[in-house]
Amino acid sequence: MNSSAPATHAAAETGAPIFTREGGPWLPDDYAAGPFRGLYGGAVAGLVAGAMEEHAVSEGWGTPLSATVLMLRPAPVAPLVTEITTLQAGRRNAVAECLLKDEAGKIISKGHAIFVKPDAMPGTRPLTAIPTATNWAGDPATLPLWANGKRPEHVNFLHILEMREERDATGKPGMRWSRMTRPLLPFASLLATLFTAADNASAFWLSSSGAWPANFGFPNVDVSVHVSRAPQGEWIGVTPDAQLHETGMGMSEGALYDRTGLVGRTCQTNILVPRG
Amino acid sequence: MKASTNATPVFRRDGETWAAQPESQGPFGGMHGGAVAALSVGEMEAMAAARGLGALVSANLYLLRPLPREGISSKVSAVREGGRVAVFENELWAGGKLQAKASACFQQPLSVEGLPGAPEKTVFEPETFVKWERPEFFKAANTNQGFLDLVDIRDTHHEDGTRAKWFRLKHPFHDVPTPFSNAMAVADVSTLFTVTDAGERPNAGGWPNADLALHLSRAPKGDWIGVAQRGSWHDDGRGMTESEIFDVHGRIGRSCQSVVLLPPL
Repeated sequence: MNSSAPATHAAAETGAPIFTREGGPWLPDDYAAGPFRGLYGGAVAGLVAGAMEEHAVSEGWGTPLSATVLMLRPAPVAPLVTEITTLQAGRRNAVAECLLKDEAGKIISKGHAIFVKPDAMPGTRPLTAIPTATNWAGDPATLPLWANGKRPEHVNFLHILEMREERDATGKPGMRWSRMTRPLLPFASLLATLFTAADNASAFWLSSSGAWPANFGFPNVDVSVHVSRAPQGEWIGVTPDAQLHETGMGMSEGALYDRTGLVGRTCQTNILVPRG
Repeated sequence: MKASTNATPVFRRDGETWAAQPESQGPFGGMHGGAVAALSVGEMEAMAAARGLGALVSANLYLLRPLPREGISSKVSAVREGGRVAVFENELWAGGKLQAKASACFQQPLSVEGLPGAPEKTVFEPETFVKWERPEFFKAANTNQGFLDLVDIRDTHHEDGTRAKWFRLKHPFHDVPTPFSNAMAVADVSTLFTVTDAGERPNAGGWPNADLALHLSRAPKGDWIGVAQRGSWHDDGRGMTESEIFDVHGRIGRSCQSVVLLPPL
């Protein structure tokens, strides 16, 4: 299914979801690909987390609190299967586990997610200050586009992820806003929305810091999202940070925002890999 | 982070099962979440060290049911093995039920020129920080805080104004060093300190965390682990706690927890 199809892909014009399913495996279209080979990490994480969210809705488990997705192997641009099991389903919380497999049954990715039934708790408020570090009150759509990874010759996920850059008071890149121009899944998914933005925290930090390690790639082995409330609107902001060490170990992270403030946090394990 | 004494480990094996010292007790019945992290992730950390699987760089723990202190069976399994990255899981069972599940990611090191190495300069001196005292409202409501008696806790503000707690274990969790899971264990207390630092209890009957995730960019050095926590809770009972994690040489990672506020009693 991978191809160098022109960017005027028919599905792109209709706003069809990136992953479709007709009773069987998930079928990714060309825009699920990453800029190199295989599926884009944010697409994989969004699919795994979103599949668990769909299951949670069907079980009446409430809304997501967190999810973590392990990227165990490169995901092919090919039919994929999700298998979901329930680890616990109590009166308030539920925990799901999801395996993503290729058609041969090989495990590509594994995820977990926690869901909670909301319960009115009047008078509850954050007990510590929520950071207000940027001027996100503006409309992200008016900010400069961030175009890294968009290879005109190769249709990929970054063609359907609109990314905008907001600079801080000193003029340095601060917040990176993104929104999907096509839905990832054939149903609404908070986790899919968050993961498609959050998975870019490593790339956002490396590009804004200028700390690209020469001759090394920096894939993330996992990506986690913790969220304390549902974001408002389609834009998700990420303030990226990272720590990389000479041993090739590293982590990247980002506070997650909507236009009204903090909604959560993403963390990722990075592994520095020699190119070539 | 290693224990400051050679005292008896908190966890011991009784044949095929684990048992824990009373200090592992949590405030709500069952084992404290930090102790569950130390047991489940620590077992994988010890196994990986013995097998040369590399450094433990991240772990997730799902706290499914209250874990008793005795009669715990653990099931460690490989999710991915081979190459530079290994991923393992550990399930803790008791009474025929899955009580907790953890995953851990290990990474073999290499040498990347131009990136920082392990720091030598000491930035924090926790022994000079004041001992943390339980607030009165907290003392009255929690008389059985076994886990907090397991650690020397210091209270301070860092130079940037961040309020942090620093921890040093009085007893090791295992009979071999487990620095990552020691740090994970104390990170689990983050939500409690969002409450004690605020000086008031939330309008809730409790605030258990359903999970705990820890990402570290390098291995902790020394006995002390610093935790600077922040909580954001909302009036539908959902919340999260996140913490910056330090050793005496600087920042080394972050922990995150999903928090569920229980209805007022």
